Amino acid sequence: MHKNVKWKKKMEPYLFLAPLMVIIFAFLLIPVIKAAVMSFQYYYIAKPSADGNYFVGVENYTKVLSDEYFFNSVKVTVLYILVTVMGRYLIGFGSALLLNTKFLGRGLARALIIIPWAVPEVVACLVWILMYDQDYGVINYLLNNAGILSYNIAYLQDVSIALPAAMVVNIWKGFPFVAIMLLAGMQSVSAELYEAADIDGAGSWQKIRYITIPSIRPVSAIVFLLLIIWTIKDYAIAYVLAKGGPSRATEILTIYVQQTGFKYFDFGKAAAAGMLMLLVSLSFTYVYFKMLNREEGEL
Amino acid sequence: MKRLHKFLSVLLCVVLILSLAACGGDKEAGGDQDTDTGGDEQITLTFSTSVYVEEPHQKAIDGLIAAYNEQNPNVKIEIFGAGYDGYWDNITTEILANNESDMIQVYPENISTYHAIRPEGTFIDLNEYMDDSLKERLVGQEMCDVDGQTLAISSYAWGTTGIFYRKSLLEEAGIDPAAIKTQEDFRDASLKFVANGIYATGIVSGTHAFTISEWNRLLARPLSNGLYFPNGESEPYTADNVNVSSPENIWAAQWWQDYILEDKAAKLVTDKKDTREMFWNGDIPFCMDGPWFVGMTRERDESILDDVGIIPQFDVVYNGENYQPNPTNYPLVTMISKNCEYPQEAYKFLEWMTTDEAQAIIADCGMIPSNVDYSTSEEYINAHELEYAIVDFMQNNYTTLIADPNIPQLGEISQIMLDAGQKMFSEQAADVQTEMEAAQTAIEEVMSRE
Repeated sequence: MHKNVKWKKKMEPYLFLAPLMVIIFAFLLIPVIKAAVMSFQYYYIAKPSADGNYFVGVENYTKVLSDEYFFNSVKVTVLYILVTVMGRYLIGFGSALLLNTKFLGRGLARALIIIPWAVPEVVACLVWILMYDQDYGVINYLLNNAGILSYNIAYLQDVSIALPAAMVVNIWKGFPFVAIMLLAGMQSVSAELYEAADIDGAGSWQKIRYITIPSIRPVSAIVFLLLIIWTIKDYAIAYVLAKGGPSRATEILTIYVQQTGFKYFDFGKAAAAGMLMLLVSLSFTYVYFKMLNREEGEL
Repeated sequence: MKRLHKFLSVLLCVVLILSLAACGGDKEAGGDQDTDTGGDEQITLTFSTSVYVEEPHQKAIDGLIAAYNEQNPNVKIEIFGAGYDGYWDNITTEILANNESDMIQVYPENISTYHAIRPEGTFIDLNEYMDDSLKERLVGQEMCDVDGQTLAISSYAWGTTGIFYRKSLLEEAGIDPAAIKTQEDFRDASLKFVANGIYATGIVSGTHAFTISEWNRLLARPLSNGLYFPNGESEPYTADNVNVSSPENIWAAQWWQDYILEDKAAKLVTDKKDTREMFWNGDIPFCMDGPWFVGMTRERDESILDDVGIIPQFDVVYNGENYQPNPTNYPLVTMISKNCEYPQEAYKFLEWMTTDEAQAIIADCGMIPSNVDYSTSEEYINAHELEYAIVDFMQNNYTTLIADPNIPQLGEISQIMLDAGQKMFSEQAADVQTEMEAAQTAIEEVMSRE
């Protein structure tokens, strides 16, 4: 009897975890395992084989790694990550600094800054498409009236501008998250440090350089990692704005995988590319958890 | 209290597991059934279409369903429609997930692609339902046959393209529309507008399939008799038969690029709707479009139709020879899924769409109905002058109609052409010869893939 109660007690946490485990298993693990298996199979639906989806070893990976469009997507993705992560961080940092100072309406400003983050991606993109419109868009209108431009730019149709245009939307949409996270970090910095710096005659820049930045370094590192992980799997902004075009200028890896699978019907190759993406993403996730654990250890 | 918590946890687990099991099992249960309701049993049929988002089509489809419901109150038809761009991804996902609609509307060139997604074939063979006399009366029905099976029925509408013009603008510029016979006549007419600071037309340039298809319909295909494969996009669909970089196609691409970039005769737009808007607003005199454009114009502002005329697509003159237009006659055809629980009821609805009663509803919304008996009837001709002009063009101005090849690789090869088109027919002004040759090589690679 006593043993039975002990066993029940031991099993209780698993019972509570079970619903979540079922969901993770059904909607995360099974698809990932299925994709991993597909990446080693012949899965070219445009030319079904009489032998079905037979195993082809690493052929799909070889095809991906010899595809120039894959490397174009890698290049676009790396650029997209570098610029948008830095952009979001810098603007978010600046905003957090401002929001951390005392001014009238600070509460309202803190609430308003979250709006871009809260707007659904598709809605935000549709609004930006209108703003980017070559003829009727407000951006061309303002730049022309300000004398900065003398002609209208087709932001999403010009191969050299489409990617920066998508980056701007990504940065605008993502910087509030950084601002809020860093603001939380800044608020946890002891006021005594700033008071001591004031006594020592430190200026604003010196206080930021020697107190704020070092104090929020752990938060910054986590924010950076999260931004990188999220941007690797970003899809909606580049797709809704330009569908990967023009001429694949905005074809980030997620769009490449989607197109390869759902447009070209080569699900084996798409799964292989997806697995490669997953590996990169997991490596950043591993670092992220390592850092989190270190943080918790320090506390 | 503790016990209650435990009980609730177990209950939640059971509910979750059951709901997941239900997700997977539902469709397969109906897979092999061939049930005819035969009576008053309430049934629901689902219908996917890419055109429901467009006003005249929505009106036509709603009208068809309402009329059919009146006669068959036990049949409920639910429409699922996304815009053209997202539609194809949606139906691919649905077929792969085994939860596609009972009826799926596509263009004939898409049939093979979606039928091939399932190794055993996605759609039912309609041969057992359709008789030959009906097949002969439906425009484009012959394009629905794949490997001896009839996989779709052309029961809705079709339309090839013509060039709509604003009468007042042409009159002002002193242009006689009847005198526009060749591509150079069209260019000359366009340049008169350019000289007055007006674009002649809008050309789609970007990620939309029209970036290639408008050029293909107007110039490339009439001249080369096949952008992807020669002899009317016909077999063999092999790497050594790819026709993209033929001298005719390269010439056609160069002409189109010059028209856009050197003549500056066309405004580049991202969507066909922008061209239509400009035409309705009187900003451009020409708009290449199909009969559905009449319905769209009527919905927008019926009074505009008084100022709208139509001419056939021009002939292409190349090396002193005249090539007649051969634009595709886009019929929207419908397939029935093998997963459909009531295939007979689904077919009954689709066949009813070919009746005079249903075809009149389609015609009144601006489309040319697919039943030739109806679209050549006095009733139709008298009531739909502009639309009938396109039927007349087919008989008198256009040669054999050609569709994109009905092959599963179409998605990939059309994307390759689209990539090339984005570079050639935009401010990028990529070298035509280089891009067409690169596209040829890429398409050869796709067609040689095992």
